Amino acid sequence: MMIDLNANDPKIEIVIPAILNGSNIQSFLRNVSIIFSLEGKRVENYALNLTNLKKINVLGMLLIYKVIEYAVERKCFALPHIYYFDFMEDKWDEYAFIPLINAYIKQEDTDRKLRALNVQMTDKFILAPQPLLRNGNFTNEYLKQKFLPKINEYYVDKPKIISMISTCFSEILLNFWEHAVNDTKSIMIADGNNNYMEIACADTGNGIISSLRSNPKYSKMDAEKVIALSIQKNVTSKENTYHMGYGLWIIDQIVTSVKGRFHLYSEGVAHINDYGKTKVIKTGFWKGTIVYLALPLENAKSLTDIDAFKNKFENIKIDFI
Amino acid sequence: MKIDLNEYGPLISDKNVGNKIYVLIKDGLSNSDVVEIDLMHITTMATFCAKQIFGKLYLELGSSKFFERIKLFNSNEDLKIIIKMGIQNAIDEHKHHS
Repeated sequence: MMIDLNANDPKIEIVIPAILNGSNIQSFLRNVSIIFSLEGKRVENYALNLTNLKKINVLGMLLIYKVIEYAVERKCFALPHIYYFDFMEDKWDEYAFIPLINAYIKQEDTDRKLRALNVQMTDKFILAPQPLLRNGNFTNEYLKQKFLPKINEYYVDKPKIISMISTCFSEILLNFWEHAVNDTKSIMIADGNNNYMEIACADTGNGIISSLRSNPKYSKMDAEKVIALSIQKNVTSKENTYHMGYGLWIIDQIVTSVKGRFHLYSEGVAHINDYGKTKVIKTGFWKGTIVYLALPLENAKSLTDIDAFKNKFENIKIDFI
Repeated sequence: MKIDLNEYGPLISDKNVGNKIYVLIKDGLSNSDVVEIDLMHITTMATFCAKQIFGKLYLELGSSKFFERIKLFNSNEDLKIIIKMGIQNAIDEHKHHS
């Protein structure tokens, strides 16, 4: 099936590549970066073309949704077209995006639909798209009552997996709350099975580059230097608060240790950690921040297994009983 | 005095919750010489919250009093590391400014 929401021929066509996952995000970012310069422009005859898509993961699913969300909410286009085949519709269904996509096409209340989404347990584990809300108890209650109990159920008797996933989630949540401005626009999605877990988070708010540059220490640094620093210990936009600047460093250490993947994209640059090898690259501009994690679970490690944490802080005496 | 943090778990990653727990422990310390904190069902805690709760208490009480007056029960090994990281960061920051 192909949907055409407008009969006019499009003048601007954003074509999404055939493969959209953690290995193939560069051309996508280049192609969609134009939308961030079109806020309020209501450009006519625009089309988002998803018909080439053959393979997509949680990261790709989330980014396509965020592009649609941004374009609609920021009124980038007037009467846009969106083209897709059954493959895309099946994927939206699998990852519980249908209500959200429909909400944007039909201009319904997306916040309400996000709140209705649940954790799906099939042969694999899927965390449906989830807003990371700083104000109110929704995210906290969701994590406590739905998400974490399901993680505990799915990975029962595998405490290292539960610990590793929980640590990463915990630091991702704090990091998005620290940097994002508009709470409802930070979305997390995840899936996994007994062998791996993938987590993607994205927002189109205040990116980590802009956020860190609000600290005078980093205000004059180029974006590549800032993104490289962002995963170092003690680097935070909010010094002299309880923010430690440890979150992304901890995630990077865990990912390096288990030879997973950790990608951090923001405002035209990215930190890429693929299987323990890291690099900083330039990318197409993304307003906000994207975090992508792929954790192999066969040799999951808790913090006590990782050299960066093992036998550290011995001088601090605490009466653990 | 015993404080059970189970109602805040299994993941403590919210600064409002962190502040509630800090106030709870502070109140406990004002009413009792020793506060016993049960972490049985806490899987993990964001480093922010570890610093917000235990880092702050460590600086306020000092290392000896913290050891004597705060007893942490049933913590898993990762949570122990997170708590120590929060305290270490609070100490480092305090040294940097003094």
